[in-house]
Formats: sequence, C-alpha cells, structure tokens
Amino acid sequence: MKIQLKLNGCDQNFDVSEQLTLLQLLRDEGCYSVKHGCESGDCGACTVLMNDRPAVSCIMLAAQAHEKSVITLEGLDDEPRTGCIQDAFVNSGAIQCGYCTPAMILVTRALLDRSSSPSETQIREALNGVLCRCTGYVKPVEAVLNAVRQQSEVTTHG
Amino acid sequence: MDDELKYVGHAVKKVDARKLATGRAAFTDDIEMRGMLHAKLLYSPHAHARIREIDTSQAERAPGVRAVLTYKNVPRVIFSSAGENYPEPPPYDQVMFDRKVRFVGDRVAAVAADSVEAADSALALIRVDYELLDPVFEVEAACQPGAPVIHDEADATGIYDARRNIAAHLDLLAGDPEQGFRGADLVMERDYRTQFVQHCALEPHVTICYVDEDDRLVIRTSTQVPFHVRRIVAHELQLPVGRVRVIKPRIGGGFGGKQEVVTEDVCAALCLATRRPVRLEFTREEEFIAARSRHPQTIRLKMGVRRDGQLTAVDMRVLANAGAYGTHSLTVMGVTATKTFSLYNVANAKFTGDAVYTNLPVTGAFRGYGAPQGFFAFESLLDELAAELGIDRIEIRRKNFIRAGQVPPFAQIISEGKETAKRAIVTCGMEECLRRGMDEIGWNDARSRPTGRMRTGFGVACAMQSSGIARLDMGSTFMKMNEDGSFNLLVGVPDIGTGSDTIMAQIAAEVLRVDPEKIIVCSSDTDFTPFDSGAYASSTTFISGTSVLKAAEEVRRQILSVAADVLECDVDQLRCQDGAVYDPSGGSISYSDICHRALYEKDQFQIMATASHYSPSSPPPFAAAFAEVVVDVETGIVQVKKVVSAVDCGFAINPQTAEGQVEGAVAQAIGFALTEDMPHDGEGRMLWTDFRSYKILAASDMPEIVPILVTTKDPAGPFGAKSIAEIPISSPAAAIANAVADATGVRIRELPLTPERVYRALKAAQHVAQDTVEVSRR
Amino acid sequence: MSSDFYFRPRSLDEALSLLAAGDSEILGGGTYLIGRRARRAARLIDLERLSLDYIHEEEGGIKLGAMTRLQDLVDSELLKRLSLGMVSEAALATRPSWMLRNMSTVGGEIVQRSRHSALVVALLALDAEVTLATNSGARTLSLADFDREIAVNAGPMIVAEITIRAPKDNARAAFRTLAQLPSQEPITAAAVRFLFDGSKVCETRAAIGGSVRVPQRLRVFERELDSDGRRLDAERLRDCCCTGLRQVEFVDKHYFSIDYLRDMSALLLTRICVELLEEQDRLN
Repeated sequence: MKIQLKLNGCDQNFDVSEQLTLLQLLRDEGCYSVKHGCESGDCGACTVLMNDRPAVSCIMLAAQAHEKSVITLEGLDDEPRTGCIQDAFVNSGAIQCGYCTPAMILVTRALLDRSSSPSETQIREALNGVLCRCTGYVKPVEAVLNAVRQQSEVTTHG
Repeated sequence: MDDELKYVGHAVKKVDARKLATGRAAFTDDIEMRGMLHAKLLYSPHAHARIREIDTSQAERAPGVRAVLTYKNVPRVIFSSAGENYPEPPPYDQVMFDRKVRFVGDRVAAVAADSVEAADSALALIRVDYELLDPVFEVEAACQPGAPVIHDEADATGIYDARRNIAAHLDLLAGDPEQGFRGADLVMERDYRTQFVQHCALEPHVTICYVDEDDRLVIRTSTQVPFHVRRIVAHELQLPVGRVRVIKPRIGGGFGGKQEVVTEDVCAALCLATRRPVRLEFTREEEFIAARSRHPQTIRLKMGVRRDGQLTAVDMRVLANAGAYGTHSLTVMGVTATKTFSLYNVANAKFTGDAVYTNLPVTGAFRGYGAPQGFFAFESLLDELAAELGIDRIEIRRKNFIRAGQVPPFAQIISEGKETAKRAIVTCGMEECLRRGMDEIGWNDARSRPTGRMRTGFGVACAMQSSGIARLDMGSTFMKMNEDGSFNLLVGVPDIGTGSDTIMAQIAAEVLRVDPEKIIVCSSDTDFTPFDSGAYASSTTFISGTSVLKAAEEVRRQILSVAADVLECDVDQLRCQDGAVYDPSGGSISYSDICHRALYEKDQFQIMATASHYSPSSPPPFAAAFAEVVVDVETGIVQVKKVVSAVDCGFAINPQTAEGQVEGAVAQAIGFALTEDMPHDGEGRMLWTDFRSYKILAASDMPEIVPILVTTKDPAGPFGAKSIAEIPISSPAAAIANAVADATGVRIRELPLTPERVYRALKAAQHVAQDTVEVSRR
Repeated sequence: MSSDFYFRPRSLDEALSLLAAGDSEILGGGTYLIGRRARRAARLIDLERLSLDYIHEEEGGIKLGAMTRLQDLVDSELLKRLSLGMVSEAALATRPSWMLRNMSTVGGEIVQRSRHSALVVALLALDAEVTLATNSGARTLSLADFDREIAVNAGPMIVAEITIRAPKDNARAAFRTLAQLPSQEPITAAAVRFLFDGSKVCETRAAIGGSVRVPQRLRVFERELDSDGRRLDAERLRDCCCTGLRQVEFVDKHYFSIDYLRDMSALLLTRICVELLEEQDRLN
C-alpha cells in the first residue's frame, strides 16, 4: 500500500504493508527517538506530533498517517524552542535512562506551543501520557518549569 | 589531598545527557543490520505440563522461517539465569528448552524469521502435545506433602528440597532468641504479606546477536550484567568464554530485571543456528509474563521488647515465592534477613526462610532485593510495639538502631552463599536522617486528624542496605591518555541509566584535575572494558568507582613523572591543576604537551593504567522515610501527600543524580505500597499484561517527594561514598502503612494497600468498636 | 493510496457500503482497534475524510461530530459557556493521557461503550442523542437506547453526530469519579442531573460507569428520586441508592469486589446528589 506523508518537514512516499504501525515505519526510517515501550499507547515512549498534536504511534497504522504531517524529535533538532527544553532537561538532571526523554521533550514542546506559562498541575497533566520509571517525574517537571522560565526571559529580553 | 573538591560532590551534567535529549540512536534496538532476522518465542499456555510431543515441521517450512529451536535440537545444559558472581548460588534448575513447562509463559520453542510477522505466523504452526499436570500457586500449599513436584528432573542441582518444592532454604541464628523472648516485657507476633511487582523498565528486554568476521558470537543486549551474560551464555551454548563478546549500549532502565539472562541465550542460539544476525525484543505483554519480578513474601515476625523499647529478640520466618525457577531466591532471602536484623543490631536473632517453587512467572532480582519486603514487616511491627508500650515511634527506633563501631549480628553471613568477615559499622548517619526528615515533614508539629471523613496521618520507617557485596563484587578499569589531554576511561560497570558513567568521569576528573568533559567514558564491552560484576547490589560507585580512583591515581603518577622530567623538578614538588602540571617556580607544562612527549618524542610510552577493586567491607547506607497520607475513610482511598526520604549515602559524588535515584526509588515504592500487583486468573495466566491494568504512577499521581542527602564520609568508599541506588526503595511502603495506621487506627499487614482492603479494615474496626460499646453497655 | 484493507471513504454512503460488504470495522481514533487489542477485521474504514470533527452550537445546544477528539471537548470554550463543562471533565477522566485524547473520538467511545468510558456516563446523564447514518437515511435516538438499537438492528450503521441540549436554568448537573490515583481508571464514575422546581427535584437523570459492564442509566434510581418530590435528605438518598442500585449488575475487577463497587457507587451518587442539592439551596 502506497502512502505519502510529510515526515519531519519532508514530503515522502512509502510502500508499506497494511498492518505496519506508524511506530515501525518511523523506526525503519531511522527515527530512533521514537521508541517501543508497550503496544497499547499507554507508556507514551512512541509519541510523535501528528498534525502538530501529540499522538502515540504504536497504536496507529502507518496508513493513518497518509496525507498528514508527522514530526519526531529528529525533526525538531537545531530549533531554539526545542533546544531550550533540551537544555532544561539536561541541566535539571531530568534524564536518567533517557528512554522516555524524547517523548517528554516532544510533549513539553507541544504544551509550551499551546500555553506559554502552564501551571505545575497542567504540566503534570500533559506529562501523564508519558510513563517514566526512573525519575518519579520530579526533575522532569522541574525541567519544564525551568524551560518556561527561560522562554519567558527570552521574550521579555527580546 | 583534601583541597576543595572541584568535580566530585557537584551536580555535573551527565555525560550522556545530550545524546539522550536529542534522541540519538544509542539503545540496543537502534541499529539495523543487513539480513537481520527476527525472533519470537512460543510460550506454554499451561501452568504445569509435560511436552509429550512437539512438531515443528510445518513451522520450519513456513515462508521466511530460518530456524526453529526446541528441546529436540538444543543441547540440554543445566544453568541458572541469575546474574551473580560465579559460581552462582544454587539452584541450577534451568535449561534453554525443557520437556516440561512450569508456568504460563515458560519457553516451548523459538523461531527466527525474516520478519516479526513471519515469526509470529510460524509460532501458530508449531504443534505441541501437552500432558497436563496439576499446578500449585500458593507457597503454603506448594511445600506441603502431596503437592505437585515442580522440579522432578534428574539433573537439576542445588535444589534444597525438590520433593517439597523448596528451591532454597536459609537458617540464621545469633545469640539466644529463646532467652531473649523470655526476658522481654512484651512479645508480639504478626503476619505480613507482600505481592508480586515488576520492574517496568520502559525499555523491554531486547537482544541482537550476530557472528562476526572471526566467527565470534557478539551479543548486543540490554543488560545490567554483561560479564555474567557472557559466561552464562557461553556455558549454555558450550562455547569458550573467549568466543563470546557482549556489548552493552544505553539501557532504558533495569532495576534488577536485567540482572538476568532472559533473552540473550535463546537469541544467541538462533543466531548460531542461522549464522545471521537475530533480533529478539520482548513485547510489554511478554515482560509481564516471561521476564522477572519481585519475590512475594509471607513473613511471620515475632519481636520481644523491654518496657523501655529495647529489642531483646527477633524471630523472622519467611516464605518466599520463587515462581517456577530459583534464580536469585537464596540471596534475596539473605538480604531480607541481614538488612533488617543488622539495622537494629538485634543480638538474639533467628531467621528461617524458604523460597518455594510455584507454577507462576519467575521471580528474581529487584531493587532492594528482599529488603523492601523485610522492612515492610519490621517497620510495621516496630510501630505496633511502640503503640502498645506507649513509646514514641521515633524513640523506639533511636533506642535500637545500630551505631558506628558496632558489629551487625549477621554481618559475616550470606553474601551469595558465602561467609565474609565480621566488620564493625564505621559510619552511620541514621540519627541525622531521622532528625532532618522529621524537620522536613514537620513531624513534631504534625497533627493527625483522627475524626471526620478525610483523616491525615504520618508515618516513619527506616532501612539499611549495603554497598556492594564484600569480598565478592569486583570492578575494574582501564584508562589511557590522548595527546589532546583527554582520557579514555573504559569501565566494566554498565551504566543502566543511573548516571554511573558520569560518576566515573567525575572521580577520574577529580583525581586528574581536569574537566569531566575531558574524560571519554566507555561502558561496557566485554572485549574492551575489563571485568565488572555488574550494576547491582549498589556496588557501582563504591566498588567500580574505587577502581577508577586507583587507575586515575596511577595515570596521574605517570603524568607527573613525565612532567618532572621536563620541568627538571622533583615529583613531590609538582601540582596538577586544570589540565596542566605546575612547579613551585611558576613553570608549567600542559597535559597535552606531556602526552605528545610520551607518545611521540622521548622515552615513548602510552600513559595508561589498569586497576581492579573489591572490598573486604560493605559499609551500609541508611535511610529514614517519612510519609504524610490522607485517608478517605468512606472509600478507603489512600492519598499520599508527601514523602521525605533522608539517605546517608556516605557522600554524594553527584548530588543531582543521587537525588534522582531517591526520587525514582520512592516512586517505585509508592506503587509497591498502593497499586502494583501481578494477579492471575486462578490457572496461572497473568491478568495484568499492559500498562492500562498494571498501574505505575504517572506524573499527576505523584505526591511531593523531598530527598535529603546526608553525608558521613565513609573511609572505605571513593571520596567517602557508600551507595544510594537501592536503599530509598526499602522504607516508603512501610512509612505509608504506618501513616495509614496513624490516620485511621487501623493496621493493614498486606500490600498493596488497596482501597477495599483499607475500607474493610475500617469497617471491621468499627464493628469491634460497636461491639465494645455494646458490651460495656451491658 | 489503494488497499484492500484500509479505506478512507469520502462520504457516509461510501462508508456504509463498505460496512455492508461485511467483516469491516470503523476506525475512529483507533485507540481500541490497533495494537495488541486489535480485532483484525478484514477491512478498516477510517472516517477521517468525512469532516465529522466539529462542535457546533445549535438551537440552544451542541452538536458534536462523531469524529470529534476528546481533547477538543476538553479545550472547548463553547461547552463551558453552555454549562456543559462536565462533558470536558468526563473526557479528561476517560483518557488521562493527552496523546490518547488527541486520538480517541466521541463516536468511538459511544460505539465501544467501554466499561471505563466516563464520557458516555456524562452524555447519558445529559440525555444526549445520537444520530446514526444508515442505508435507509439518518436516524436519531437517545443515547440510552443505543444498546437496544444495536441489538435490534443488524444493518450497517455509523454514529455520525451527537446532540446535547444545554441545561435549562433550573438544572444542575455534576460528574464525579472515585479513583485510587488521578491517572488511573476510576473505581466508579457517576453523573447526575437534577431539574429543580424551587428547591425540589422534579426530574432526575443518573448514570454510572466503571463499576459496571457498560456505562448505563440508573432508571430505577431516577424513578425513586422523582417519585414524590419530597425533600431529599441524606437518609432518603441512602434509601433511593439502595433501591435504585439493587438490580444493577456490578462487575468485579481485581481488588474490587462487587459489594465494594456497589457501596462505592451508592456513596458516589449520594455525594453528587448532596452536592447538587446544597448548590441549589445556596443559590435560592
């Protein structure tokens, strides 16, 4: 089955088997930041931005991405708003094993695009879909709060 | 050298943080190999059965299938999958494929095919004729005469009593408990139960094997124990160790679940059968069925105490559920005993433990390794004793916990089945842990709310662990210098996400007086990094870190000797600082120049060193956890509001990663206390096989967690460090149970503290109260 | 893109004829169908192209396209303005994961009638209506009758639209859950809507989910409360719960027995009713 989608800003054509999940397609294409953690969409390690909205790719067929835009962390590199979030995660000690980190960063990016100063409660709600077994979410939440602070400083100082 | 520490003791950024933050291909599955095959395992649908016949002929002919393995074409080699030092503690009761299956999820066959789908389709074509046997799921029933014998094979060794399904047994005795109980003013005996829980590392077990150009088997795998994997797989496949290489990439969490050979052996066997690269990755469902979990324990605990709160005797009887195979059973029980009894320095102590086989998924190593179960019982009963005696809960602990200079009663016993020397505790920060924890949670101002619908309660629990296994765990390091003043640091110890690579870099950087960014850490590859027991038993900083310290010191010595030659100065007069060597007169030479000279110019040699370390002692870390809970007495729902975890880890090489360890361990302990379990359907089939049912805490579920790091600087550890990886998981569950008792007056002795359990306990207490009122009215 | 398995019809008629061909399944967000819970039908019909994701205000109420994502319900200012905030709350409770809310659809929740679909509980209490597309035209029915409709009518049908009337001024409604952890599926979920005449309740709608096999209206409970318009106090509420829930078939789940689920459902209903009554008293 032939599909076409915009992957990380590039229009691409793929010939996929019908049962192929979007997660499998993305990893086959070298988007290793998108990870397999479960098969039910509950752990969030396979999060991507589908038409700019966070979605879990392990429970989507590749076919469902036809004529849509899919963004993975690979597509957001070299991009200051993402860079600010990555720096915050690095500096806050929010990364232990790192398996859930791309998903957390993608979700944070999507959250901050919606709302420039989310409360801690809103941050936790947004991160609910990304399970982490290493950190207890303590430093990841701090990292997001730090990123929010940084971004507001950037905007106020121009 | 007691100048101010520049790198150790500071929140240095993790050396792997950047690549993880950018999602670089770093994990086991983040590679593609040409011609790679995909493996799937066929699991037993029955809890207990013999395989009468197995027919793989159709599967072998199916499209894309390259190999099918069963007991018929795999040599029968007895082994233990436990990642422990050689020789592994008994029992040796596993084979890659047996003619008998012992739990729903036991291996029956393995297929390697061109795609996952082809492998899956082939599984469906394998015909197995089972002779069903009666299964047994409860430990109490399994060790009764007449229970089905789970391990009746002739060639298993080291099973304590196979007829009674006892995989391992442990007896420990110190002093005279009988006398101790006689001399007590109060004796209490209670039963406690803990449940199956699983590690739930976000990265499932995954292995890729291939045969290299020298015909050596290469195993790229998500493991905590690369060297044990090498040895155990070589043994199973009857290869010399030297023909096997294990590569550990970035690991997505382990927590003990990867201190085990789970996928490596069968993946390797398929690789050798096909001579093609083979990939085996567990689904999350397979994790919940065919991986490992924590030993459930039923604990009967009896304590004798004097009126002033001094413990006089303890008798602990443990029945642990080993699941279908023994693996870590013996040593886990040992930890249950030694940590609890040692923390309170009980002179008269008796421990009897049986790890019993059942037809359930295999239990193994899990952070804390028996201590969380033991401390749940111990810390709960201490609170009950305190209440009965009218003694303050903190005071009863203060009265009894071990002090520096004292020798724990079982210190000399059981490290992986071996005796070690009696050693006194040198550093103990328990008092400071208690004091600072009490302060943070507001213990003295804390008001339990004993009436009304929402009742607040506060609880405390203590714990102790160890720092590596004395005289057993060994770690080693190889370090070499490069001509730009950077250093390659090759360590055997795997970083499984804890940040140990960073710790090693910090230690080396501190000794060499260079920025940690100059240290290029590689962990671990059995061909290139020297031996390390592995990332378990909280040994990484204490044992492996010391080997790094030693190697760095030797490298520094060599640097100084070259500098002394160049600067024409005595070595003793020289000083290392910021990547250069200085003499008293102001002359200096950079590390880069030193290395150029050594590699290229004069008296050429490679500045390098190797070092190994094991320790005759294992200085324990100490911890006190405080929990604040609110219980809705109409529903039994327990809400944890705050957990304070104060940990004496000796010295935190990196306070930020150390806090991270505490925070993550507390989160796991809350799940252990409230929501996690692995129930089955009555026939051994797991009911919760996804994250929808098996609930690990998400971001909104977390209470406030406050980690407190207490410094005691133990002389045995690098820069005074002990350990922190496991200890914070052992006390929060008990603290929460104690807080629930404080809030409601009701004591629950079984985990998890589900709403209905709390609700029923409250109802029962109400009826007792009503009956009492009735009686007194009459 | 051409396939024998995955389809994106451009009209409801096209979708219906694909359904009629047999062995097909409608794909909304796919959160129930793909992955390890997939029921592998021979054909998947993705309603993606039918522009069924809308939230419109109409005739004093709301019309939701069946492909409206749960997250869109959470974000909707319109729902809040029309005092239908409990629909947003219920959407949040149904899927604590933002990602899953971006994928799950209202239509999908209704069709699946999952035990834990809190959204359906709220919609039932609001007397929502469902418009089905069928080969013989569109048909609108009460959501409460959807189960019966499915059982009785074998022909292909697709949930196309959901209608919710905005609550009248004299109505008060609330949706609440009991859960062990905020991100966990609720132990039980309930929604109650009272129509008041002064401070007296003259009409009740109540629904529960989580503790039962499918989210359902509590008609006996409703009748009990409506029966004589007497002042509702705690004792009367307890009696109504007792009678009202007696015939309800609670379904245990691991760690939650039928008795406990019954007690908790009664408790939750009582708490919600008390809350609504107190709110009405305050404003009167």
